[in-house]
Amino acid sequence: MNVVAQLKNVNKIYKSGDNQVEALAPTSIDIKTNQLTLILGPSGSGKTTLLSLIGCVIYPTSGEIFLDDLKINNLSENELAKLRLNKIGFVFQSFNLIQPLTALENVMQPLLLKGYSRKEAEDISRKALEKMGLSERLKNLPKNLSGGQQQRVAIARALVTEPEIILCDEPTASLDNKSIKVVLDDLKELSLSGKAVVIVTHDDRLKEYADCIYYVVDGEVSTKPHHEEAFVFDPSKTHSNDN
Amino acid sequence: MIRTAIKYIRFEKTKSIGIVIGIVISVFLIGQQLATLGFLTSLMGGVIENANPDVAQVWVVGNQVTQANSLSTLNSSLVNEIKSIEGVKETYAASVGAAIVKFDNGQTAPVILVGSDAPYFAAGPNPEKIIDGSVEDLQADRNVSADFFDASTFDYPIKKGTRMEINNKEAVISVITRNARGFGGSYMFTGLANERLFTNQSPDAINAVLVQTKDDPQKIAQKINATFHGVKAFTSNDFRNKTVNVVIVSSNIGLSIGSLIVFAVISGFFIIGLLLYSSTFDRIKDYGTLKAIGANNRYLIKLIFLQSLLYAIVGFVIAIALLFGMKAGTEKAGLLLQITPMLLLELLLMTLFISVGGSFFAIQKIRKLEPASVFK
Repeated sequence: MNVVAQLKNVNKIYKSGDNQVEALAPTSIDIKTNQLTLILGPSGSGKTTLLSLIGCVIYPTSGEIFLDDLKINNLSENELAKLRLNKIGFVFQSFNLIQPLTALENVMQPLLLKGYSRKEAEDISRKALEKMGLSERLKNLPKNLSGGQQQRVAIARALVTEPEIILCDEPTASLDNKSIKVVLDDLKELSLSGKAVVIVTHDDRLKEYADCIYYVVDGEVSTKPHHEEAFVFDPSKTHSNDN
Repeated sequence: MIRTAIKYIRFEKTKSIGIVIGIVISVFLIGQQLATLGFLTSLMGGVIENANPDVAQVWVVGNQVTQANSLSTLNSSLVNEIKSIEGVKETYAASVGAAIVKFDNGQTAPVILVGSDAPYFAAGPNPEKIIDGSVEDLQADRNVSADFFDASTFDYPIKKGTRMEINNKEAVISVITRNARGFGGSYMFTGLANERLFTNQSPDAINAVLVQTKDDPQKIAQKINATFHGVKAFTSNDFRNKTVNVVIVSSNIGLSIGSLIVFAVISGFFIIGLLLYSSTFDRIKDYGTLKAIGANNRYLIKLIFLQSLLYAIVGFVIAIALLFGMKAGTEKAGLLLQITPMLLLELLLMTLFISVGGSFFAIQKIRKLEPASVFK
């Protein structure tokens, strides 16, 4: 297991006028390959902030973030975008498939951004979707796919550039129980194949898949559940709205 | 990327149609106004526009004259005097006078008689505008031309052989022109003697000397201005431009059409801008997702820019097709819209300004969009 992402004493403070809100207290964590890391916490606890920091989507207020030994704090927005494109695959809570594009075109997007020709991108994406059992749905628009199918397209899009890190934001929030199992099995398999898979969730039923769990409560990150009752899964709250 | 841009456009059908309609209306309005202005300026040029361009290269008029539609009287001796200037090939007298035409049904109408002599009829009509008859016929006693489009003005059918009275003197139409018209009235072209007969002008009086040159007309005009007092010489192009400028300003047509064009450009810019912004806002999650997975601002701006460019092309093509349709429809009524290659280029640039410029608001939104917004 190699450390692919490292947060050293990282915190995040959001400013709004004179007000300051510490979304994440100083935190140090390692993200490793061959591991499925679970970041567990209730809505508004700061777990999505933590995911955004690992995913190089936001800059930390203080502390250092390393991706493969590269310190990202001083990189420009464009350099961060390039880093995300090459190193990280994102699976979003509500899939975030690009609505005007077909399943195939959605998966092609990261490859086209990386400079692949349309033909190359199409061939690779077609194979990725076939692997996900979606060979019959290549030309479908997202609105014509079921929740489970959309999630698999989202996973194919996250994996198509073969990133080292897969970041999943509440990947089961919009899925039924049957689809949850399929998606989690897929993600677990990915971690076993050498990827670093990070899942942010408030659903503690996912614990059984995790190799490593970080608990987040009120911006504090711990490896131990200090407020166990906070993580009791409530099926009526399948959509979290973290900061 | 162009395929992606087309997909975005097709996905937002209602807004896309709205954007294209906005562009079409703006560009069509601007085009129609400019084409009409082109037509009106061709009329404003008056006698200059209708003169024979091969021989009327320099116009010599009274020094108080500010435009071709109001010429003062000169002495006909100038015709020979100017001919003595080096570089002048030939000079021609032109006489212009107001008259009343009366048809056999009792209809009357004011006309402007323009007289010059065979064989060239330097003051007009322009041979290219003759659709029936021969220009030499105008030299015959009491023969005049009439314009095809003036039939509605006269409320009388215009054809060769039509007899009428001009200032109570018998006259006959021997030449039919098409669009040899003026801004302020109907032109009838004839020989110099006929014009003097109908308007009772003295044989010594003329209104302009038209000069055919051997050298650069600009230099000849300068030579004439340096040699003769009480007259001003212009190249036909300068005199036309001066006349058009005077008429545009004094009639407020420039202000009226200009303000309408400015209004159409501004309203088009903001309508298209806001629709593009709204369309982008509807897809903000998609743009945020693209940013999160690694697209940089440059890529996204290019995507928005391409969409606005495609809207511009589609809107421009439809607007121009409508403009040509209108031109064909109004030609029969005598409104000859001037759709020149220069006008098309101007309209294309305006379309790009309205559409691509309008995407500024959407681009600003995308530039400020944080990739982290997709996690919210």
